[in-house]
Amino acid sequence: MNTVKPSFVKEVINFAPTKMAQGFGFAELQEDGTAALFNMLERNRCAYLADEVGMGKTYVALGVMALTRYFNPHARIVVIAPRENIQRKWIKELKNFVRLNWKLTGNRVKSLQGEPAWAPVYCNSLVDFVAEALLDADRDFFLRMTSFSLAVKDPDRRQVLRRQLHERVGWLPSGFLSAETPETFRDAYGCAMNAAMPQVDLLVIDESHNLKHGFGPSVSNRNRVMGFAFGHPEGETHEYSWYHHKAKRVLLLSATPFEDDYAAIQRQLDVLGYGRASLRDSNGRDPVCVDRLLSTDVSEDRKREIVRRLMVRRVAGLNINGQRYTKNMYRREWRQGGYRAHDNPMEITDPKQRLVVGLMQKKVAEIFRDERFNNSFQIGMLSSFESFLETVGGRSQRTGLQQATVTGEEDGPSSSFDGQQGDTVDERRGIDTDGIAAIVESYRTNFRDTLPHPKLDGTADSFSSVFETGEKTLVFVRRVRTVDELAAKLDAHFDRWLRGRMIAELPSLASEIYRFFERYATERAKRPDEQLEVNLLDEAEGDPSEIPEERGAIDDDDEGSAETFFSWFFRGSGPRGVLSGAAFQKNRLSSQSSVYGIFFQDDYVSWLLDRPVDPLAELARIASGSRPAVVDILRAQAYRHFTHLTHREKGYPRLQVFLAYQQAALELIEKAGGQLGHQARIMLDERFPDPRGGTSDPAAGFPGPEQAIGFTSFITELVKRPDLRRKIWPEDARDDFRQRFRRREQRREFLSAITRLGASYIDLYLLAITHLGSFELRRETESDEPVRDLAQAFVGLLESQSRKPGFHAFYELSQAAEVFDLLVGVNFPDVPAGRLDQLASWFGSTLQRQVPVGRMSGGVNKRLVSQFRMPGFPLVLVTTDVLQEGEDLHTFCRQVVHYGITWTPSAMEQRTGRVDRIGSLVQRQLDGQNSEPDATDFLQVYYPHLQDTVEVLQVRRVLHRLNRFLQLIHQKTSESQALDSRINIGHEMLEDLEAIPPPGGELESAFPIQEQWLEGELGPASVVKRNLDADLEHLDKLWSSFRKRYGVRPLRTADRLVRRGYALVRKGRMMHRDTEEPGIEQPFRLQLRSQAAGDATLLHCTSEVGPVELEHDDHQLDELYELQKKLQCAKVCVFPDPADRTDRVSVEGDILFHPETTQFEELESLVTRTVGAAGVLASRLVERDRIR
Amino acid sequence: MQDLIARIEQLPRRSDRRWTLEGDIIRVRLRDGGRSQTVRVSQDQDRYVFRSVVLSRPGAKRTKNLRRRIAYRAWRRNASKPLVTFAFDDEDRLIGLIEVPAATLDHEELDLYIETLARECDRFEYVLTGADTE
Repeated sequence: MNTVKPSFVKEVINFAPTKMAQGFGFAELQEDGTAALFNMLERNRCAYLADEVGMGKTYVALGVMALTRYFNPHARIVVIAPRENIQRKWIKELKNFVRLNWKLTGNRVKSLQGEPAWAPVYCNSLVDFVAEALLDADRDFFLRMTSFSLAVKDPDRRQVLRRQLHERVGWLPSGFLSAETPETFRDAYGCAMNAAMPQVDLLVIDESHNLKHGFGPSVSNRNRVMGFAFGHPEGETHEYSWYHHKAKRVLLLSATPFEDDYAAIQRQLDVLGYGRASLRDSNGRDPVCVDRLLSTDVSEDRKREIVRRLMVRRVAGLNINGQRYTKNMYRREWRQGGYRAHDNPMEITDPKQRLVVGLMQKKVAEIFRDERFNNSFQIGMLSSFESFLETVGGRSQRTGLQQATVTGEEDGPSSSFDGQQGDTVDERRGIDTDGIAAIVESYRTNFRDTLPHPKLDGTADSFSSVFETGEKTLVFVRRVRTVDELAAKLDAHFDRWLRGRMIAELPSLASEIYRFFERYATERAKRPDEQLEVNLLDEAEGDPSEIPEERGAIDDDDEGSAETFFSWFFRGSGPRGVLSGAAFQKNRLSSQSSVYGIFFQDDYVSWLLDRPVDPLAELARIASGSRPAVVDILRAQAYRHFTHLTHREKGYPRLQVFLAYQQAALELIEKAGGQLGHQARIMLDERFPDPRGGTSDPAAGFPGPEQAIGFTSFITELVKRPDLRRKIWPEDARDDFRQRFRRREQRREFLSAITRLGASYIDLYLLAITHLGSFELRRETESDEPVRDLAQAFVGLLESQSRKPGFHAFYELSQAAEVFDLLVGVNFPDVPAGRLDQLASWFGSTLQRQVPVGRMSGGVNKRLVSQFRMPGFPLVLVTTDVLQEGEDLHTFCRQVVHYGITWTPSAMEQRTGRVDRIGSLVQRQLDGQNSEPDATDFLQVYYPHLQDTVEVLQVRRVLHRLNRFLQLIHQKTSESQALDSRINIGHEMLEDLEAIPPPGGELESAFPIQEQWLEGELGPASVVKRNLDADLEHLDKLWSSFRKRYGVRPLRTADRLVRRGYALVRKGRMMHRDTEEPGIEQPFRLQLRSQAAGDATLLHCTSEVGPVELEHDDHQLDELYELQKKLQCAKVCVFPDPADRTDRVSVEGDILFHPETTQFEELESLVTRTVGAAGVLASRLVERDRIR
Repeated sequence: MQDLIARIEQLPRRSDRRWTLEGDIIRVRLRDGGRSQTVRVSQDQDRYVFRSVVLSRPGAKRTKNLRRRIAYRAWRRNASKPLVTFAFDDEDRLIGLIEVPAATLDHEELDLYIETLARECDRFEYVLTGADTE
């Protein structure tokens, strides 16, 4: 047994690899958590991490996973996330963790390539998982809970599932999945999954509270299938030879591990076959069975003692003015229902609205008296509390899509709500939906207006100020229809704000602006039901909470709609014949031919030469030539690049000319050598990595270098204003030139994308129109240098905005620049290591299609989520429970509105937890502050409701439960009673309605880490580190000898772990190049890499054969089969290429590599045999004429 | 060859290695699920060859289509599995093998090659048949 001290963890993991992360101060907590949980797993095989939301549970779990792999390189790990978006996030975070946090490059956790040593596999369904696990089980598998939610009621669907599994696990007994009833089929399917499931060394369940109902006969399909898949003891009665318990250790994660009863922990463990786990103390003594948590004879204190053996929970806190604030202190809860003054009720001053409330209350009371409801209702299931419009038959008819279901399982009935709640069909639709429909219709008929909804209207009014302040707001609703309804009201507020802004900036064009708004209103009236985003449902999995990944491919165009004036005028079709925001963007800023095409470009050459007055003269000096001679050289070279970049026969697009000249000039500087030459080489490698081509006789009309080197753009103007530049495009002080250049480019592209695609574009566009003086489509300014004029004006505007508070371009750009690393971490994980020429497309695809008010229901729109993490649009995000778990929305938001309330404290806590996380806006602003905090800076949590309505009862019930949950999980004895999710209004109306404040004072966890769990055996001295330089040195020595022996023609590669070359092969034998005999040129590649399942370094040799059609051409396959038999030990490898239905064939091989023992003969044997066999296959199957 | 057998016999066993040696055949007990796999060692000129059978039924008894499907899966598996080569021998058996120069093989490599070959062949056999006959 390996147990570790936190100092061991610190030696291998850096939980705060950046300055910003160091400032958050969570590293030590995460080290302790990792050590304690790892030790608990070593001792008891199960552990539960229940840190508060937002404290980085994922990273602690990744730490535990990494330690598991460190000590056992063969350890197989499976992670089950609640849903698809979180599943993806795990893989993203794993890559980040390995790259940034894990300190040891080796063969266990971080491969020699710097990637996870075990490749993470995204499994889109259980069948997908089976296929991947059977293909190669030595990888880390990431599944989602919804994949276990099988729809089995439909016999046809069962038939499909049966066929899919039999195709992949052909040896399953033929009648094995022939069960007739849905329940027996479901259980058999789970057992069949167990057959395909490899032994799992560590199973991680994220948000495991979802399993709280355990493993009984009547639990969800999800829990049953998952239980059998991992070998629940109940399945052992079937006596299948393969059926085993498959999870050697389980780590559960949830900030809300139970609601009001510790037994929920045992039930979660039971699903995974740990329902009778024996829990020992840290010394391995005093075993106690976890099923004691179910017993009513055991006291709550004793249960708490039992839970402490497997659970860790820490409480987050902010240090403000010398005092520790736990979440109950830095969250400001508005429990009385209002928005205006803290803890005051929502006001209704309009008599008409008061009348409507009274009328609705009467109607709802009549509904409650119906015998079906018996004067009671399920919390969260009254439609009228949210809005009056009907959902079912509304939204689904408009979009033509399947209606979202409640449970996440296909077998559930349709619902007006997203998320889990409600037992009956009436509840799932909202018990009052039908009842109030008649009133709504009657009002509309008689008064020709929509029935006012005081809560809805009050909410929209209260948050209309966000367009002035930029304060982001996250609104949770329960009803799908409320999303559109509330967002539409906020959109209307935004349109009014935008009109005011435009008129203020362009007073002389006010009448035209009014006309545009009128035309927009007309357009809008023609398309009243248009939505910006249509959420497609995942047909493969049948889970309505998921959107297929392929949607990214169809979202490429930044087309607007008529949803708001912004989307119509600035991004959509806009008014015809007008230089609208969209037209200016398309025809000028984004046009490669327009002079504005280089508005956001940097002059690399001038920067490298320290911005000389005459860059061409400086180039001539560096090249030791005359200026005209250098211009000629540049023209020829640039033209070559230009014809490589574009195949246009006519014209010379400004952007391409710019890029061609910049590349040519950098090459000129590189040739001159010295430090500048070295830096130019780096810039070329990074910015222009593709091989050069094209022709070099410049056409007569090809422009000279003057407009491409030493030009003016927004960027070149910005560097002239150091103060402003520091705030929106800061330069990182780094010694390494490559990193410095890369960071500079990453930030520039980021700045460019935000300005072009975000709220900042409004300011830039209005400025451009100010210069043009008109909205005419082809209007130009009289200036010779319109780009310079606009760039200077925009820089000036940003400077003036920097002195004014409010939501404007400077606000958006400076906020994004300030937390650039944080935003890259959460939104653009591929950027740090990615190619610079892909940055624009990465940033662009995430930042396009912005809307001031975001709408989310039915599924998670990843782009909208990413945008909400940015400082600009959307400023308000209205969502159903689809965003309740998993997504981090904390970067710029500190207002959460529980507009539609949900029953469980865990759900409420998860919702608020979306914005209460490490690195949140609240933490960044308040933590470490040395003055008394202003309550308006706290995290604001709203529970809007109207007094004098039955809604008060449901809010009070939920608040009671929230308090009880807090009492159970913190160091206070709970005296509250478990509460039902059903409210009887007859009883509760009579109860005293006193305020229910949140618990006061500093919270302390009931499950902190006990010291003994940190007293492991291994400290930092036990960490084994390896020296990669010795490997590379030895490889170079062997490679050099081999090249000489065979006359290998080497090929250049930037990867220091790779050596490439061409060898000469004849009749399956590798020969020296100088031989007279004919042969074929066979490429090969040597690479040092980590053994996927083990701790060895391998020297891997690949020699490409080429594309061969195998799956669809039996003749080819038979020929390869016979050839392989003749070649005896050749390792034939096949990689399917779905793009063209062929297979890429290669011959490969590996040897163990060690700098002290690997000898020349081993490398020689590896390469000659691999290349020889590949040469034979290539000559017979692919390129029969490749003779030298 | 005798030298190799002697080295295998004397190989300092790691705690989780459970091998039994009969002539040139090593039976490897694997760590998960009580399964085992047989590895045969031989010498081919200046090389040692470690072989383990995955599917031993002669090719004639398999349908052509089944044989093609197995071949395709074996080659795909080769693409993801280091060290071990899955191939078909003269008798159309699917075997896993590792071939190394005899002169340079050290103890650590010997241990890892045998264990890896046995594990991978056993896993592939399970994937294809669900059985443990080899």
